[in-house]
Amino acid sequence: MSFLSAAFLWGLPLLAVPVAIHLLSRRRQEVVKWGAMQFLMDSSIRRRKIWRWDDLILMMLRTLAVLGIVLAMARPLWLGAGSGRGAGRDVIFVWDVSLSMEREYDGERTSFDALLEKSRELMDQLGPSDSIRGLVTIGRGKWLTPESLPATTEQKRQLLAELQKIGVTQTSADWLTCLGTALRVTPPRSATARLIVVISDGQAQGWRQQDQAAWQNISRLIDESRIPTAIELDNVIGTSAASHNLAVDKLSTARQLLGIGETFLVEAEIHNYGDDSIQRVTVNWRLDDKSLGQSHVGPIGPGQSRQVVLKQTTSRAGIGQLQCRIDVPDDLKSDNERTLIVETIDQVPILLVDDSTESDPLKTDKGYLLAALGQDPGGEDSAKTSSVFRVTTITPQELVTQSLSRFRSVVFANTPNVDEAAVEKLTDFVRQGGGLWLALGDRTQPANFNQTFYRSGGGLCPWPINESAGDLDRREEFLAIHPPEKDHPATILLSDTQRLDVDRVKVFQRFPFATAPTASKVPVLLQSGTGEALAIEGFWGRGRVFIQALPMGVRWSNLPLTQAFVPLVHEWLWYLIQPTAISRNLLPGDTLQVSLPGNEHVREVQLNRPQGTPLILTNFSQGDRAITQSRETELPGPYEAVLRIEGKEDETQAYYVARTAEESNLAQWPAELTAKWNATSGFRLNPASSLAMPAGTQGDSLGDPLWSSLLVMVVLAFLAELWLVRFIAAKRFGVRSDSGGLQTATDRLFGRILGARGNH
Amino acid sequence: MAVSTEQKSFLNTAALSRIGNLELLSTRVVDGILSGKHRSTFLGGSFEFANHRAYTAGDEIRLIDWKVYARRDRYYIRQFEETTSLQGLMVLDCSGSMEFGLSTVSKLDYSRAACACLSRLMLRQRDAVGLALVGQKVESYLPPKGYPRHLQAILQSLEKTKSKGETRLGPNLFDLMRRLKRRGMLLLFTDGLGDWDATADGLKQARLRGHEVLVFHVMAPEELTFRFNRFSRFECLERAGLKLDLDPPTVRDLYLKNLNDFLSKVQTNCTSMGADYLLLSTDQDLGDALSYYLNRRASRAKH
Repeated sequence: MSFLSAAFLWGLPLLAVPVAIHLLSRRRQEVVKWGAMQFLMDSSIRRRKIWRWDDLILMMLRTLAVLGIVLAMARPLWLGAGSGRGAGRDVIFVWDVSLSMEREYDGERTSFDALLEKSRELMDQLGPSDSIRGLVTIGRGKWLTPESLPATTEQKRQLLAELQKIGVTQTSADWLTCLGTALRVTPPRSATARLIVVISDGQAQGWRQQDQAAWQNISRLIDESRIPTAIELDNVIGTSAASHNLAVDKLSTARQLLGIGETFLVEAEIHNYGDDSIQRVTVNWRLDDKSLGQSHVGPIGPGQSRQVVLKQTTSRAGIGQLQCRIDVPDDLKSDNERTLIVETIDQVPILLVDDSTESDPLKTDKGYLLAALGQDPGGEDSAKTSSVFRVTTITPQELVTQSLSRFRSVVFANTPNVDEAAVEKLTDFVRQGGGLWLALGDRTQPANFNQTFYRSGGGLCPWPINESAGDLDRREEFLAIHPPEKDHPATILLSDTQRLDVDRVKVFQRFPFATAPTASKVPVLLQSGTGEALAIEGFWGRGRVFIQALPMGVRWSNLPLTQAFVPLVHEWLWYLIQPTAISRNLLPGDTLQVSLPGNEHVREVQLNRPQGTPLILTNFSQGDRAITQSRETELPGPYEAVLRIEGKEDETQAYYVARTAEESNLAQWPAELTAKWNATSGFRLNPASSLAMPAGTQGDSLGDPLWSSLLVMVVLAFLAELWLVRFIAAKRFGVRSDSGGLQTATDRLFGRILGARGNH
Repeated sequence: MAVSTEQKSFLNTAALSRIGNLELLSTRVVDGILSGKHRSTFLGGSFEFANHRAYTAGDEIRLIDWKVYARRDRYYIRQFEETTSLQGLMVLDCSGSMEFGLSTVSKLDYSRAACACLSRLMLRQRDAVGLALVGQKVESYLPPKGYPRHLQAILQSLEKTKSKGETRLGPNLFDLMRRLKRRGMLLLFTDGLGDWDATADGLKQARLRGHEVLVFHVMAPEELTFRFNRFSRFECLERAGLKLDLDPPTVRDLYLKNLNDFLSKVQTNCTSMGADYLLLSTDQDLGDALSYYLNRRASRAKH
């Protein structure tokens, strides 16, 4: 027996009130000077003089009523028979549904099967007086029920059914986050202790052994818990058996967007997480349903990785799923493949801003750019092209009225003075992910450029420029370009001086950058041999900006005449337009963004997920683009956005959330983690006695609430008292139940209850 | 109309009784009784005609019956059976139990008032009346006298009356019988509590001596109903130290049974010895009680 509001027990002295009333009532007896004593001296009368049973019973009933009220207010809980192991437990099961639970360790038996079996075994120890709730290790922890419910047979069955429905996922458990989620939830009011039961395969991954702050946070949550709390871990494998596991850890391309007919490289990384060396691994490649062939790699020693590269040329526009799969018999089969979404586009719209009126295209800046993009240098017919880039040329004056939303990048071949409205438009364009390439030339006025593009550090250009340096007439004096490093995606290709001759570029004149003292580190794409920056990168919003200190033409440098020019233009443009691409290869928790066609009415966007019901996404505008997005990407696997467009067939866009590579590491708990667990208060590792009450639990445990029964008892006591008072009144006053005596009877009855009794 | 007058009179007498003015009380009550009745009807008790005898020398001439002389032409003298007044003795029980009275005046006060009223009534009828106050012994004794001023002595004696302890009514009745020389009327005011058998013996002795006996059995209404509801302590008025803690409702039935047995016994004893018995409750109108009694006496005298 325990009480939820024990303070009300201070009201128990009120029990003395009915007793005192009874005793005072006896002491208040009247003295009658009596003459006819001889009629009272009868022995049968004398025997009756001592006790008044009715008053005694009345006192007991009143005492019982007061006792019932006091106890009911103290809210007692009754510990039922056989609940010595602790009724009133709030048990939260934290189930490991990470990829490693698919591990086969005993023939056909998986860790998840063992988890289900262990869960059933533990649930059998719980009774209806306990409460139960389930959490699976998806993201920060996903509850299977909205609240704790009594651990009835039906509730247990439903929880297990939900768990089986989810099954093993491709997630990687973040244990400390999930435990934090479980600890932060408010326990039921009737619970006396909380047990968080972790059922896992004992994989070390996900426990963040070195994250001291997170571990201290868990300990603090346990200490600050309203009721005694313990975390119990049951390892369903129980051994650190040697594992045999090979996994495709990584599958990537250099770019998210590819042009049609473009050859690209796909790099896969095969990692051996097992304890044995693998001599030869066959890698199967597929694009959608079509096999792309096989690669072979080997040998791979324990803990080693090998890269496999696939060279592939895109043949058609669209979204394809490139799959890399290894066929090896290992413990964990789900990590033997990885998928990459490849998006191929047939054209990249580029806006070229140039107002040169020179008739000879070889004397203009834009002519070389157009030629590099495979278009007519004269810009007369943009359809005559062999490139995916579709260039539209306008004058700077037309920029204000030109809609930029359909272009992926804007290029100035020789940046002139641009008015404020145009700069604002360009800033918005870059903020939303568009690319901007500013090539400076003889039409550029440094003061004006600094005012419109640098803006004292608040503009699109991170550094200001100085007056042009160099003398075009003295062509023997020039700056050579230092071969760029490989660390920037835009210059990887240019860094290959074996194939490209960027080191032969001569720069006769340029606009030197004045390094801003407060500017943060600015990526330098090209620099001279003397270390002078010739091309830098700036960022604004989601977009990227290239500022090139020399124009596209040949007057200030021989860059367009070198072999490196065409690859430079292509690589840089691809780099600049990457932010405009929808990221289709995501990591768990990344935002999934769907770009909607601007000129059509999209009724609904439905997101199909690897598990669970489809989501309906909300559309909204971002600038002049219509998009929708979702953060429900905690589960790795294929996602599908279905766009229901008015008057057209549904359009499907594919996404893929990659699994965490570390999940393939089946290494079991290290001794340090075991020591850390054992040393932490409130933590139990594979306890011999499961679901035991945590230390500090008051009493044994609490059971069923008793106050409702007590209130019934109080009501019964009052009814019994009323009946007894009526009986006494009838006996003493001769009250009859007929209507004539009713009023008198009632008066006397109440007079009796109130203790205002008269002798006559 | 008469009843309301009497009720009003009783109310006043109750107040008077409390202030102890028995003279005024008896005047009011007796006048109240007589004012509603024909006096001539009740005045014959003392002058009852017996027969005629021949006149002899020495007889008073006023006694000659001139109507007989006219018919017979001879002188006859009228003779009466009682030439003297009726002699009555009121015996008042002064035991401790007569002190009891809760909702009404005490039984002793009620009896005193009754005695005063009857004294005045009897003296107005030229009857001789005496008073004996009986406790352990005969506390006070006023022999029957017929003159009106005797009333003052009776009233003074009544006003000094005090109840005390147990009574020995029976032996004292024997003593009183010896003091009464002539046959007369014995009016006993008692609650009968104590040794009733001895009292009954005394009354029998009075009857044997030829006295007419009237027993006024005075009881309080509480004694007749025992309507007590609270747990109470009953202390005896006669015997000091005798007390009982009782829950009256639980013993009421037994008490009433004992009481009724007693009342039946007293009444049976009285009627069997030829005595008149009247149970008076102290909440009863004294005038009503006395007129009721006088009516009964008159009706018996006619027979």
